[in-house]
Amino acid sequence: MKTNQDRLILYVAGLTALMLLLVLTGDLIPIVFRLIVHTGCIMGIISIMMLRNVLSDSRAAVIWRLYALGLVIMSGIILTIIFLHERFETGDPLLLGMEPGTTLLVFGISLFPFWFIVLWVIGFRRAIVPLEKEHHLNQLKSERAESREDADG
Amino acid sequence: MGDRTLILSIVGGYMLVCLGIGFLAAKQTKSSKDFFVAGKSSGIIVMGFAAFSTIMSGFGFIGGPGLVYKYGTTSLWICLPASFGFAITGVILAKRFKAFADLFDILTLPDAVAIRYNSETCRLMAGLVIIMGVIAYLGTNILAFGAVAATFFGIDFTVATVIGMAVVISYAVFGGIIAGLYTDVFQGAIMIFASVALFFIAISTVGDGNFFDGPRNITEVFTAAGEGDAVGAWGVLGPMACLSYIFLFKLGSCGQPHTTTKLFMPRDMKPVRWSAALGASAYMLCALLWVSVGFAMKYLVLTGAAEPLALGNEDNAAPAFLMNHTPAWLAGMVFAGLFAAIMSTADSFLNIGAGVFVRDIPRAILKRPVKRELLWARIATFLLAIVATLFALWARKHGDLIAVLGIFGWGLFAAAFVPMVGIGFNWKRATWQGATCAAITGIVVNLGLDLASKYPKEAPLYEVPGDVSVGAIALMSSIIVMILVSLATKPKALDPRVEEAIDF
Repeated sequence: MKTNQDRLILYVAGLTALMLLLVLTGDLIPIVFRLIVHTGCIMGIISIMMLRNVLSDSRAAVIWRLYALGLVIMSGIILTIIFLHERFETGDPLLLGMEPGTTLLVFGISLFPFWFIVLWVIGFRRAIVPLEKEHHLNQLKSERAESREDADG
Repeated sequence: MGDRTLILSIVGGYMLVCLGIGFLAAKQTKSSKDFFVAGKSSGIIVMGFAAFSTIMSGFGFIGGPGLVYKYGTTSLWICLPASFGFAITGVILAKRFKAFADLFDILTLPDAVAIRYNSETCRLMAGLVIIMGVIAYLGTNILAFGAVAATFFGIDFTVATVIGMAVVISYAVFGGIIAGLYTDVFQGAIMIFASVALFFIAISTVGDGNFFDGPRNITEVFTAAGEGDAVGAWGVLGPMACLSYIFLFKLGSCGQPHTTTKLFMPRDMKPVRWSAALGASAYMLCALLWVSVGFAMKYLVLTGAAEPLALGNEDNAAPAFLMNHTPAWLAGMVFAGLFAAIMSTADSFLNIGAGVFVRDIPRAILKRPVKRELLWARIATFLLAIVATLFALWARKHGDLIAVLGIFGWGLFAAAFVPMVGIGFNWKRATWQGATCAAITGIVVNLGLDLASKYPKEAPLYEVPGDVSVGAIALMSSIIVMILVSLATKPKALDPRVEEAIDF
């Protein structure tokens, strides 16, 4: 019987296999299609691995949603870069002194680590390690220390 | 005081501080637990700085500008995902590794792997991957050190390499990871300052004194010189290569043993919660040097203000810019930062490599620990440094860019450890057979494709479609193998504490 954990990992396997297929088929598939699907696969895998580690219950639902929204926006930026780059011709107007796709890369993707820091500050850290789990771990740790002391006499 | 004397004084002072820290740390290192995991008592600042300064190595500080010089914007698709990788590692691994470290006697990554899978075969496999990766990756950093020191100080490459390794050995052998962590904090601070300062100087130089004109000048000059691809969104290597780097450097970060090992060291959960955020922001600041210096140097070459770098010598972009376009006091700080980046990574590699020889191989093969573990750890650290230095000197003639070798090392670790650790510690159904097969697949695909795409030099056996990273293909293959083999084999019953840690 498959658990929920098994199902998520099977999605990871499926998305990874699809990416590998897209890489190995090379130019047989149109480049824009390959790029869009590839981006979706990468962000899908990252989202599955990360979101399952962030609490989504009432204590952290907002953080979970903001975090998921961040991943969606990042996917959107990468997809926009794909389209902007495909359309750009030498001589077209620049944006902030750079090709529009490059501007989006520099001022879009590079800001995400800071976006996640903001989330961390407003509560993301509590959504990763809830206090009751921390207390439980400390309890297990003390029990282990006590049993060691008993064993040592 | 002349420019060269000033720079030498700053770099010399930096080396002395590192040795001083090593001396103080040696006094605190009284057991193998201190030597390998700093007594499991590290705080937020130490953890955050240690994680990022270990990752930002000669690969980033020397190889990064070289990569920008050669491939343009493609390089951004490496450094940006790598910073995001701290968040991924922090979320999917940090709390579990802390739980494992609290519930079991864990000093090395293979220790954790052996307990998770209840398998000494897995421990041995993890140890072998670490040794392979350490020698290759350490060699990369030694080459970076030699390249910078030999170019700048005008001394023989071998002499430069030996001096640098002598300093690293001095504090890594006696101070163990405690010295490594403290020097990481010091080195990390220098790296951030040097990167931010140099970023403004590099872009202002390109903008003829006006920082905000820099990007436009770069775009116009590159386009006029027929190198428009380098300033496009994907750079010279194209979109598929860039997407493969996103995958490799985002997800692959949780397979880098020199950083994940540090997740066993926090004294409580506070560093676990914060170190990823600190590491990511510090890394982003350091990446400013990586990106700006490479573009600035290429711009100066295209405008005739600097001599072109010879083909294969693109790694000299950073040293050349520092020598000719940076104030002496800042060049001294940045050179110290460059050495810091290299040495902070080198000492971490020496430490995890020594752990494999002293702790993991005896336990996996002889089924018992060695006596006088601390003494043997110091001897192993020393011998490993010698072997890696000899390897680097031998490999120097190979001709790859430092960053290319770095990407290979990163890919090797990622392909072997992302399935074994990143997935295995998040999925109870994962089996030791799956983890072992995935590691073997990672090594074989990585090495096989790398060699097949390079040799014979006249007509390589295989051309990777779209310049996709070999490491990314190896990572994809090993993840698939891990999941399929795990589903096809019967899992062992898990120790209740392992279940607790995985459920954490």
